[in-house]
Amino acid sequence: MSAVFSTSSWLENIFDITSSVFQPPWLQAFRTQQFKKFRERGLPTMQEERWKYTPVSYLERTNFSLPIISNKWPKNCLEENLNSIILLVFNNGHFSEEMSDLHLLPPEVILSPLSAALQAHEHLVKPYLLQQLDGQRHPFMYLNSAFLNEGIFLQIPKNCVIPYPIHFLFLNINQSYFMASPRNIIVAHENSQVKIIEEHRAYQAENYFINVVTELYTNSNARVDYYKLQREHLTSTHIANINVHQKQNSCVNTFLVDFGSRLAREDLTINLYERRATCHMKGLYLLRHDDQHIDNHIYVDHAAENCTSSVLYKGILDKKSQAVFNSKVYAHVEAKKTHAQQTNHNLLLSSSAEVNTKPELEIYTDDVTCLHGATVGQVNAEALFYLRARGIEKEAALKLLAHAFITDVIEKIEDSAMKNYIQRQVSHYAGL
Amino acid sequence: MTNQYLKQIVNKNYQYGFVTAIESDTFAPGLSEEVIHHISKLKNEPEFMLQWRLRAYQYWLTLSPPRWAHVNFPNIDYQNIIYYSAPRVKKDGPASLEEVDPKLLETYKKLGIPLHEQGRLAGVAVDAVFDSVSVATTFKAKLAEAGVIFCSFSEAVQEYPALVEKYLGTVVPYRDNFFAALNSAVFSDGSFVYIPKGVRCPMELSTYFRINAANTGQFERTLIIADADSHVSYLEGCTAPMRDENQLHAAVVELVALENAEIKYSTVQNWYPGDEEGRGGIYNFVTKRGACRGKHAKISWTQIETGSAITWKYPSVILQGDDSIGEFYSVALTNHHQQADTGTKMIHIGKNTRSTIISKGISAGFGQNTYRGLVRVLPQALYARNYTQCESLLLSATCGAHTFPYIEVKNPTSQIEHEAYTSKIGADQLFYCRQRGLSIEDAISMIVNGFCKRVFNELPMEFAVEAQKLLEVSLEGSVG
Repeated sequence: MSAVFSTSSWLENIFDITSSVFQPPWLQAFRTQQFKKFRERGLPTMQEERWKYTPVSYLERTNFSLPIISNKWPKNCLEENLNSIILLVFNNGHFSEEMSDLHLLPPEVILSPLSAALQAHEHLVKPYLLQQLDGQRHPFMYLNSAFLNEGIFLQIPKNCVIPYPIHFLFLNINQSYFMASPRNIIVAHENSQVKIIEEHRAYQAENYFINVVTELYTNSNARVDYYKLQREHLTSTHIANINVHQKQNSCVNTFLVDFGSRLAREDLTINLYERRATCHMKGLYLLRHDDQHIDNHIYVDHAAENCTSSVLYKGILDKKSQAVFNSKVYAHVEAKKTHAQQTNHNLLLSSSAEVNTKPELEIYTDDVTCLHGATVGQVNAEALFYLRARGIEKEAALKLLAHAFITDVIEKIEDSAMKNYIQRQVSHYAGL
Repeated sequence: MTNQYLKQIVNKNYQYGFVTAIESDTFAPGLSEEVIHHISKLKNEPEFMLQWRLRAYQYWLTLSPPRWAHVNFPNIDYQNIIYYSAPRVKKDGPASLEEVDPKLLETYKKLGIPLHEQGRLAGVAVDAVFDSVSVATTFKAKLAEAGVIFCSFSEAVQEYPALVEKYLGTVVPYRDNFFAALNSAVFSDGSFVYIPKGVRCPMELSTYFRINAANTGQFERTLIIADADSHVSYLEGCTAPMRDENQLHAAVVELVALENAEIKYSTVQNWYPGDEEGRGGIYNFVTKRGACRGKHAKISWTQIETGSAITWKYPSVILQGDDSIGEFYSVALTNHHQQADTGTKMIHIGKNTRSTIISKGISAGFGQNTYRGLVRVLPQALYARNYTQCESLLLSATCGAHTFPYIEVKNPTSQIEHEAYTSKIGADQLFYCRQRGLSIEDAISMIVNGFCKRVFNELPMEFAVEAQKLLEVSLEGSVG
């Protein structure tokens, strides 16, 4: 297995500091237990199948500290946001009330930072926090549990439809070498609907490490649209686990866009527990810098009949970057009439870029239709010639073709405000 | 209702399960340096072979059995296996077919192998391997005329040691994996083929493998070298008696194709698959690999895998030469409690290299069928091209079909496509056939055959018919 995390590491020190902050005793005990488990499990190594292409050992050698609120707000940090939204802003992992805007929130909805929710609604939050996450598979979830103190708690009651998107904005400002471990919990009760966008940005922050876990519970007939925009600094590490739990007739749409970080890893786990649940996952990964590494791992667990899932991810790789895509559909014996689809397309723009893709199927029942497809290729020479023949410069032509390559995924976003926002971000920060 | 028919079709019995009562020289079970010395001495091998075997054995001792494949089986006790068993023959070995034990010939006759030269009409040259040693090779004279060397491995070691030393272990080194190391240490025989420059082998070459003795492991090694501008088509078939205990078969096949050469390697693997409860059967842990060393070389693997309790096999192609081509066509069927973890590796190194992978998996009963493949494109492999298609057909609610394709691309000029599909026989397809007056049985057999057609088309004629029949036999009683 993997090496045990060395006891003398920086980790021990910062864990002691967080333990001295007051928290309910059950949480203290839970965190200590999770910390112990993480130490026993250790960081995953490249010998492990699921981590074959992901080098994370440098994390152990880096001295991360705990994040501190920055009082220097970047001037324009909220300017480019969506209009009419419910906004929660985090400053280096700490909630900032002054910058947040909750006036559009329907009164029956509970939306608050996790620390406040722990005080106001302890009985509500506790069962969700005490969930045993599969840290053997993904040790960073143990680590996140060990440092549990902040994040978001969102609970939408029955039959409630929130008309405005909710924006979780995690800003990393003016601090380097810190580790933040936000935990977001979203509970959508029967017949409710919500649109969420989680965004991570950096302003003069470098070499930091974000280890985020987002838990999404959708009860029957609920619908959740979850968007994520990862725009971390190019020296940072971003490790995210998104765990989705779906009940009967529920519908979840996810859309992940990654273009930041030196190393980013998104683990999206979908559990379809009850029949007729559907989940549609889309994503883009745009790598434009040397030594950039972005991983996308998807695991769809079909445990009930008549469930549908689809995956559509596209990636563009330039310079000496490396991307990994791995998705797996697991259909249990009970999962009759499963319909699952996985598609992954990659466009390589440079001769030193590398992509490793592995769409997997593991099927234990017969009445299913499961398909997957993956391609890796370059810009079509004919299309390039066509554009050049019309006087368009090579650079611009390549950009145009790369843009065309990902546009169909962005076009699939139903909410037009969200579509424009993501389109704008992609063109501005990924240059497409 | 459909289930019943499927069951009938799938559950047909294994017809090669007989045992031949024949005198044989057999070692005591167990593996040690002594055993290896003994094998080497029996075979009268030159020193380099012995040293190579010993190195492989030393390396094997440092390894532990691989566990990553999607198969379950109890730990194998490697000290409880007989590493050498040979039909007892006169000291110098058979000079012609007349000297071969008639019982052996009868066995091969039962299996339908045209060992006697009266089988000339079939036009297939056969090298038959019984337990651990090669018993007879037909059509030697005719092949020699064309300059083709086709003989047992032991003979090759005696007569062409230079060729053996030059190529042995260059495609599958003994350090490759656990079973390759074991095979390198103890392999007792196999086939050797050398096609000289510019020669098109005048007939299909074929090896027939038969495990007869109980408790033995079969470790054979095949080495095929196609020199520049040559062409060869090679067939391999296998059967074993029905026994309640599992037997190990760990073979190594190495193919070398030089400039403009083409090797076509077809396998119909029908080792005893175990009974309905999953007792007995062969563990088929095979390492097969080909290297396209020269420009425009081509290696094509075709396999029909219907037998074995467990199949663990990844015929691969290393596309080293520019413009070389690798192909992999496979039908793997798992029924009852059979497990298969099979697929291919295509390593693109040269420019303009192309590879095609067509894999069809059929699972019935409690069978678990896994496709595991790797397509790797290295940075220097400009304009590499791969097309992969793997499809799985599910015939029962208790079986499983899995797909684990690895695609690793380090070159932007390459074009890689992969698609996979898993489903059961469509109700509408069945309805369509039934509506046109076909019985359910015929309809299913037609659909399954249609499903495999693309692979069967790649087989040499005689084999295609056999494969089709074999599939029907293996499926009997499972279609549902």
